[in-house]
Amino acid sequence: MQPVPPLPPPALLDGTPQRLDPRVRVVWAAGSALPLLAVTVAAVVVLSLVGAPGLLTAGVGLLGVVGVVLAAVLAVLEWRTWCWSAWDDALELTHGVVVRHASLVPYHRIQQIDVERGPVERALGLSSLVLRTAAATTDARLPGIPAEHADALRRLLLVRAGVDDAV
Amino acid sequence: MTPSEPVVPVDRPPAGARRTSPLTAAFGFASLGFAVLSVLATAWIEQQAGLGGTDEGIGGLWFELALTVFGLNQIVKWWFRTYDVGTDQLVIDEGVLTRHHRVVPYGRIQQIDLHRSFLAQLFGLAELRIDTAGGEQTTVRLALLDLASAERLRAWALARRAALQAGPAAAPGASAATGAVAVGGAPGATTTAPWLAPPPPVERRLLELDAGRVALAVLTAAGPVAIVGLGLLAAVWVGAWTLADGGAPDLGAVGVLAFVLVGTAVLVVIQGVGALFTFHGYRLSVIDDDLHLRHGLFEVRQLTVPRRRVQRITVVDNPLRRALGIVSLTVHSAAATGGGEDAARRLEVLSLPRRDLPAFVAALMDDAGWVPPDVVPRTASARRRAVVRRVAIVALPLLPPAVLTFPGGLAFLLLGLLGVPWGLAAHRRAGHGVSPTLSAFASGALVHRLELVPHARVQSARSSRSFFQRRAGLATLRLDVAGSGGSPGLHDLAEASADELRRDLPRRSR
Repeated sequence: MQPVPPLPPPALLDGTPQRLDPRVRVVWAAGSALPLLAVTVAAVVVLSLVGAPGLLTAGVGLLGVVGVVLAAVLAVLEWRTWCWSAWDDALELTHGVVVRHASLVPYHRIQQIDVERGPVERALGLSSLVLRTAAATTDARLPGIPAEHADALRRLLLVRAGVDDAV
Repeated sequence: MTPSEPVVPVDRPPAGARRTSPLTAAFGFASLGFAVLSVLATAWIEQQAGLGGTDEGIGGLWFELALTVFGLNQIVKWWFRTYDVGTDQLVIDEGVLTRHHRVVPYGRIQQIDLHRSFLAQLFGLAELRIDTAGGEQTTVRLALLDLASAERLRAWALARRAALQAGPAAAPGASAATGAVAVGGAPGATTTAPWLAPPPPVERRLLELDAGRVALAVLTAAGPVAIVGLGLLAAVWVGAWTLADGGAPDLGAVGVLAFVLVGTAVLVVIQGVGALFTFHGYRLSVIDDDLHLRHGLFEVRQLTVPRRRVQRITVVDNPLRRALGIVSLTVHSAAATGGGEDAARRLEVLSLPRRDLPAFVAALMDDAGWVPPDVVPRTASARRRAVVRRVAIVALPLLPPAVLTFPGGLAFLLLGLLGVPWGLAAHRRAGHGVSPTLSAFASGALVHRLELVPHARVQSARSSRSFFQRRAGLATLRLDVAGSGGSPGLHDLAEASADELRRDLPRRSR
């Protein structure tokens, strides 16, 4: 039997607002910046190979750099708007820079909780918890949870979910 | 709502793995019919025209080979697909190389339908579809069974579902509540226990529609009304064009006018006649705690939705229906009834006098709590936004032509003022209401929509505030419910009440 890791901060379930782990900013920034960077580099290489005017190549490169900076700024802003609270009976999420989203998922509606870890998240030691209910439209993705807490949090929520077919 | 004939008690379908009707493979093969016929016809025409080259023999051989492979595939698929009717669950095994083993617990049934296409009726066959909660791969299709087996399996699954939900006392192998007992769960070993059998369930009829009411309902639906509207608009346009052209209507214009009007009439008649066949013998009734809907002449559908699985009810009308005082209802289950062929599996109440709505909904759900609550209108800032948004929606596409034909084109922008009555009409109707059993959301300018969502079925709730909504202190509220058809909710509620409802409504589902 594996030793059970310690419970994460919301062990009290009193609705205290929680921030995401700050490292999640890197995950988000990398998520949008890396593909953009790859496309920019490829475009610059191709442009210089075919002998395009230097100004055009520089412009494309600059556009890429601006995009990357924008992605980083957005990631920081997004993190600042993110907030989650675990209440006694429900999980509440608030996030969004341009459009502010808020959602409430009662524990007894939870059908399944997935723990997802992308390559950047793995490198940084983070996990995402995805709560699923019987409704496909439920918005309950909780990113930026330290990997050592993710399983414990998942177990904590599943215990609260109880056994019910919930449809 | 007159009590009518009692339904025969349920007996257990034979246990053990069984195959569907051997004709299944033939039907699968026949589904190729049109494709095959068209290919054959093309080949024949080519041959007649002398276009076939020297390689024609080889082409024919390939074609026959492909057909044979397809046919064999159908037979093999049929042979390897079995279903086993258990006491608590239906088990389906299928697949040749990769075997799939699917277990469908009766307790989780959201909807169960019997569908008989014209061809299937000729051969006394039926297709059974069982839905468990929404998502992917949750519809089980048993095609094709002979009608008696299909009906027996459906009745059995429903009876077992009711027994399982009645409580844990109805344990596997002691299904007394259904009037038939499987001893020890051994396959085939069944015996009846008459002293434990409950009185046979009674069918209560809720609504029957004759051809006239079906026709009225279909012809006043949004589609035909829109067709007639567009047809008349086109006729007026052609008429105005002719008059502006020089007064005396010429033969060409009259021809176009006649074509438009006759075309409109033909489209509407086609829709009407099609609907008369589709909804022939429309009958909605309640047996035990299940809603049953049956309709169709050439294609018979029998839909069954357990009352407890009803996720929400949508009430819709349009200007024509309002004038006639009728509404239509859609009863949503958690089954996949999204689009295409699946849309035909929605439990629709085609037409109902508006004044009967509260009593009907209460009878339908056997719960007076389902009577729609009064709707609270939105705030004045929501009205302002409703108007501004619609003026913008109308005016923005007109901006390029207005700029291009400046200054005369500025008159185009005046059309944007159409957004004012549109926005006011939409706002007048919009609002929400909350009763102890359900929440109601009303919306729509021309087509009015009322969503009734029981608290017990709400999965979660969301609110969102765009930049403009934040400035006006408004928010959009959405409730997440299982099944297809989007999330019911309301635009531009006051921020505070949207937040309160978002926090409160999902918690009431406990």
